[in-house]
This record gives sequence, C-alpha cells and structure tokens, in this order.
Amino acid sequence: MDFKPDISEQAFRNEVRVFLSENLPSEIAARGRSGYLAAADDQRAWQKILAKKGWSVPHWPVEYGGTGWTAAQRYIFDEECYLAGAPTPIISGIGLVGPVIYTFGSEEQKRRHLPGIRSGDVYWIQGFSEPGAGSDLASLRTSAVRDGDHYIVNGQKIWTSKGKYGDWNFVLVRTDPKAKPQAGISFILIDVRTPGVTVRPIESLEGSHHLAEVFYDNAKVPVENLVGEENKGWDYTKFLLFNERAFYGAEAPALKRYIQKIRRYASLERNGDAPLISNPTFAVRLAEYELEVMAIDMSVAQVIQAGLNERNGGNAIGSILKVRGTELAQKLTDMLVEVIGDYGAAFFPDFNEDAKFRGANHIGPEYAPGLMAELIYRRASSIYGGTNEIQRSLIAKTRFGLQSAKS
Amino acid sequence: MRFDLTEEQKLLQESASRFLERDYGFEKRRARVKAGDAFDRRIWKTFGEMGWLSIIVPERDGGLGQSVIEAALVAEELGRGQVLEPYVACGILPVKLLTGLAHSRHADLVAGLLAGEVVAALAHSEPQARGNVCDVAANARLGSSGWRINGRKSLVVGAPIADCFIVSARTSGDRTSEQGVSLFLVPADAPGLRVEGNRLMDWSSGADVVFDNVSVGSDALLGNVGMAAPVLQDVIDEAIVLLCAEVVGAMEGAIDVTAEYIKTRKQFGVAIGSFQALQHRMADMAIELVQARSAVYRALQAIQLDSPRKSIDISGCKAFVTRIGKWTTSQGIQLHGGYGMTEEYKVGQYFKRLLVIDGIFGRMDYHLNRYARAIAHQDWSDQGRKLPIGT
Repeated sequence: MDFKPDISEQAFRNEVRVFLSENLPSEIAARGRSGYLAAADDQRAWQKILAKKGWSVPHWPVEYGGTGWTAAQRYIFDEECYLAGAPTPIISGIGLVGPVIYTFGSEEQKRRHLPGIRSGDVYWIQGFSEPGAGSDLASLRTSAVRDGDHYIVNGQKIWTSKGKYGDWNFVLVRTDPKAKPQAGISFILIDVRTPGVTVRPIESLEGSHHLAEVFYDNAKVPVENLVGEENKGWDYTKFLLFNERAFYGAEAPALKRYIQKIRRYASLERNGDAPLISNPTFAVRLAEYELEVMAIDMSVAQVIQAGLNERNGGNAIGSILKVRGTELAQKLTDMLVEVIGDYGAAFFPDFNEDAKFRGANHIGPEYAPGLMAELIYRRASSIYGGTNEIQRSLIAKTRFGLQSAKS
Repeated sequence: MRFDLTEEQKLLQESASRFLERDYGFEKRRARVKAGDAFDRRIWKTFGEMGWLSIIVPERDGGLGQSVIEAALVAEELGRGQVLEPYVACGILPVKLLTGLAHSRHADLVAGLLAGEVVAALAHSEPQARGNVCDVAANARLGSSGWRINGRKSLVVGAPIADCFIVSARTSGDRTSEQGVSLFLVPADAPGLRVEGNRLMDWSSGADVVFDNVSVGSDALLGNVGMAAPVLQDVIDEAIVLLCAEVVGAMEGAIDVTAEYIKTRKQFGVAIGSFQALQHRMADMAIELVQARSAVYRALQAIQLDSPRKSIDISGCKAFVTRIGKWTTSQGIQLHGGYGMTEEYKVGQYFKRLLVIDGIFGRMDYHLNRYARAIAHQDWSDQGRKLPIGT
C-alpha cells in the first residue's frame, strides 16, 4: 500500500486541463456548471469537439475509436471535464447503447451506428422502463411481433431521458410472450421518425421536460435492427446496466463540485455582517458532509485502481457507492439552496433547456438559477438506475447472502 | 391542557376540508398553475366569507375574536389541500399588523382585507437578513412632503398580486440595530415601486420588491417611528407557527397519498407495500408526523401562555418541523418512484411547498443558531426576561 500520487497520472491530468482550457467554450462551461441538466445542443457541440480530438469515446476499445487510456486516466478525464463545466456526455449513446452494439451487434450495425454515436450527430435515447415495469423491469410488455422482414412494435415506454431530442431509440421488447419474463426479451434499435412512434415529454417537478414517454403504435422496424439474438436482450441489458452502475454511480466529481460551490457561495453570501460560512451551525454541517465526500472519493479511487467490480468480487461496491453517493448529493444540493437564503424559494426558468432564457436578467445572485432545480432533480437519483431500496437489498444479498422471506 | 377540538373548532376544520374538496381538486389546481394563475381573487373572497381572514382579529375590530389555535386548524387544512393562495403571509400577517398598529386610521383598508377584497403583502426581508427582522438596509427619510423609501426587499410573498405593501425600512440606527426600524403602508401602484420576479418554486406568488425613491405621505407610517422591530418579530413568530401548521397538513397529505399508492402499485407481482423496506419507511414518516404536530402544539402553547421564551421556541419549531417535513415529503416522492418526480402526481407538490416554506422567514441555519445561542443564555428566560430581538 502506498498513497503517493502517480506522476504520470499528474502529467495526464495537466494535458487534459490544457485541452479543456483551449477547447471548452466558456458559455458552454458556464451552463455546464449550473445546476440545470446539460443542454442537448451543448452536449452535441461538445461531443463534436471531443470527436475532433479523438476523445469522444475514451472507454471504447481502440478499434472502435477508444483512446486506450487506463481506467485511472479515463476517470481523471471525466473528472476534469466535469469540474471544468463540460456538459455531461450523451451517456445513452456512448455509455449504454454504443458498448452493446460493438459487443453484441452485427458488423453492419457497427458500421452504421458507431460513427454517429462517436461524433454526437445522432442522439440516442433509452426505452427500458414502462408504466408497469419499473424496478421490476423484466415484466415489460411492449411487444415486437415478427411480420416478414419487419417487427411490428406496440406498447409504451416511460422515463426516457432527453426523449424530445432523440434521433434513435434502443428498446427492450417482448418477442416471446410465452417464455419466462427474462427469457422472452429482445434488444432492438428504432429510428424515432418511424411512423407509429410518438414522443410525449413529461413535466418534471423542477419545471423541465427532459423526460418523456414513448408510444409505439404498430411501428414497423426492420429485422436487421435487432441486436444480437432474438430473446437474448436481457443478457445485453445486464451488461449495459452494469456499465451504468460502475461508471456513474457515485458521481464523486459532482459531490466535490457541490462542496466547492457551497464554500464559494457561502463565503459570498452575507449573514448579517459576516459571511454565511462563519455561521458555526452551517460550517459544522458542511464539515460533516465534506468528510463523507472525501471518503467516497477515496473509495472511487480504490475501485478504479483495483479494477474492482461486481463480476470480480467487488462485493456490491457499485451499489454501496450509489446509495451513499446519491444520499450525499441530496444533502449537498439541499444545502446549496439554503446558502442563497431568500432566493432559494424563487423559481428560475431553465436556460439550458430553453435557450431564450440564456443571458436573461434575474433576481438574486448570478449563481442562483439552477440550484433549486438541481435539488429537486436529485430526488430522482435515489430512484433511477435501481432505487436505493433495491440497492440495499442487493448489498445485503451480495455481502451476506441474506434473502427476503418468500411471501 | 386538552387536545380534543371544541364543537366550534370542529366546524371550522370541517368547513375548510369541505371547501378544499369542492374548490381545490388536484386537476383544477393543475389547470390553474399551467395557466399561470397563482392567485384567484374569488377564492380569496371565499376565505373572507368563511371568516378565515378575520379569525384572530378582535371582535371590536370586526373580526371573530378567536386565537392562533383556530388559525392553525385552518392553515393545516390548507396545507393538506395544497392551496396556492398565501393564507398566512397575505391573510393573517398583514391583518394582524394593521389591526395591531393603526386600525382606526385604516379602518376601510382593514375591512377590505378581512372581506378578502383587498390583498396586502409584507415586504420585510432582505437578502442579507436571513430571518433577522432587525437587519434592514432599506431606508425611509422624512422630507417636507412625507417619506421617501429606497431599497430592495426579497421573498415578498404575494408581491405580484398585492394591492398594497407593508414595508419595513430603517429610519435611524445601524443596519442591524433593533431601534430604528419603521413600517410603512405603500400602494402597489406608487411611482418608483417595482416588482421583480414572479413566482416561487411551488407555483405560489412571490418576488422581490424594489423601492426606488418611492414617496408616501407622512400618514403612511404605521405605529411609532423606529419602534417596529418587536412588533414585526411578534407577528412573524405567529406566522411561522401557522406555516408550521401548514407543514403538518402537507406531511399528512403526502403520507396519505403515498400509503394509497404503495397499496395499489404492483411490482414483482405484488403490491410494493408488501415490502418491509417500504413499510418501515412509512412507519418512520408516521413517526415524524407525530413529532411535527407536537412541536407545533408546543409553539402554540408558547404563544397562548406568552412565554418569555416564545420567540426562541418558535425558531426551534421552524428549524425542526421544516427539516422533518422536507424529509417526510421527499420520502413520499421516493416511494412513488419516477411518478413522484412529475407534475402529474400530488406528492411532489407537497415537497415543493416544504422547500418554499423552508425559505420563508429565515432558514434552518438562522433559526437553529438562534435557538442554540438561547441555550447558552438559559438564565435569560429563567428570569422571565425576553431575549433581544435578532439574536
């Protein structure tokens, strides 16, 4: 055991920082640092800039455009991008469907779809959850029935992130209604412009419309859009969900940025004659949160250095980091709203989602917009990607072999 | 002590819940917020007709002459019903200030307020004040023709719809001194008065009010010059308790809709309410509700007995009740899953209401700190002396 920082990693970090300072447009960075979810136009623009440098899909195999970086380098890259205010990547594309296509897809699918994912030209959206299939995803009912060289797709998906920006949709469909729930599912790619496909945005509590329902009414999808084998979709999904949890669960960079923001804003905000940060009640709470974040950051470093994961005996570390990371994110965003006092109650329109509010005047400090939206949005992070209740059950089962009593 | 309601109190509570059933269904409310309609004057007039705006006003001033306990019963029902109109901030608060300070001079205005025909808003807070009513940078200067007011007021509940404002401004002293805070009555259409912003996160009405050389007559002064801070603190203390009563209603509402949801929502072939993790969460929420309600009772008791610790105990109540109220309503969202995050379900509106109440009249950092400092000066209250305002 040795805690000295790695010099070559430090050099890599500097290289990334130089690249960011020269290539990340400042308006995009300012929007990226706000609490609003990334703007789809900014995500695409940034993906293009990264693609030009060859850095848009670092974690992919080199043959498909990856960088060949170590896990530690990839993490440093993600963290530096995040801290600089780069928009979050189009995860549904580069993080979810991309790896499924290059791992399980046909040569034709790779040739057709991977370039658009790398470049940001094609915005992919996910079609997994359904109104009746949330935590119990395998009970999904959207059906695909073979009809000559097409599937006829009928049903409904929900909670599709960035649905209204979607060009292509990767969808779990039931192709064998008689098989056991997990055994009859297939993974299929659907062009959102296909007749019969309708996207309906959902109004979220914080006021945005980034989620959507997607309806399929006799949508005709060519058979060649099936990924891998029919009825094997559940295996591909497990592979994909594992990627989701391992890479994005703890969100340590986000937690660190919340701490930075709280410190900075609480030094600027006045509490009578003194800065808010000098209020002991406030400072003690921040200290407690910061200690948690520093520990979680070390856990993430360990996971990355050791290449630890569920498959090689990580002992539910992905679930552990997800639970604690999301709980901290909720506490810290709550504290951020507290920092801005009276302005924490105000509604500010989302300038990331609606460009007409960019540069508009608003009441309160310049950093006020987005803080409340983020607090509210963060309530979803203990729900999506497997609720924290499900994660805790997984931890109990994986670590200790504990199972729920059969009811 | 007795905890059961009198017949009169029961009737009051029932009248509120009947009104909510009839006029405040969730779909109606949702259509209203979509149309940007945060304040319905017809509903405000109904509040007046029901007597809710005059509950605490003495009978000699045209009110019902009841106590803050009756007002709390109404506030709790309105919290459960997700009422958008700011009953406490624009109803109880300005009425209490005006009747206490200058009833005879403003009898017509008071009659209009009690009937729900005129709406007043209190512009007391400022960005740096964080709950301290003595921290007032806005100023008023007396000239030959009257007062001239300058400054910015933040989180003025009801500002975009108010007909007039009661504004606190400094007429002497340092920015944070107790002495030298005065209250003025200013019509909303006074030249130089500007409302910035339009709504709060929970769809209710609220904004900044900027006073840019606003001129008012010498009769605009309410009460004695420079002596408003203790009056303001007293009235705001009562308003805080009523907001906490609203929180109790919101918590109970969130718990009720969530209990219903987990009994009907099925995953893995069973109602999700059959999972122990969810049952225990519901149990914890029920525990917090009992605690919250009792904390509000304690604060009502402090008002009724006019305890020397009243203001401090009310600070403690706000810090405590809003914290557990935020947690309980947030868990309502958690147990609803993704649906809880949408505008289409009731539960999220309770959470957003909590987030706004958390911000009004000072946040947890202010109130908890104030309570903590009072612990260090326990002897103050033991001797029956009141703590200085603003500490």
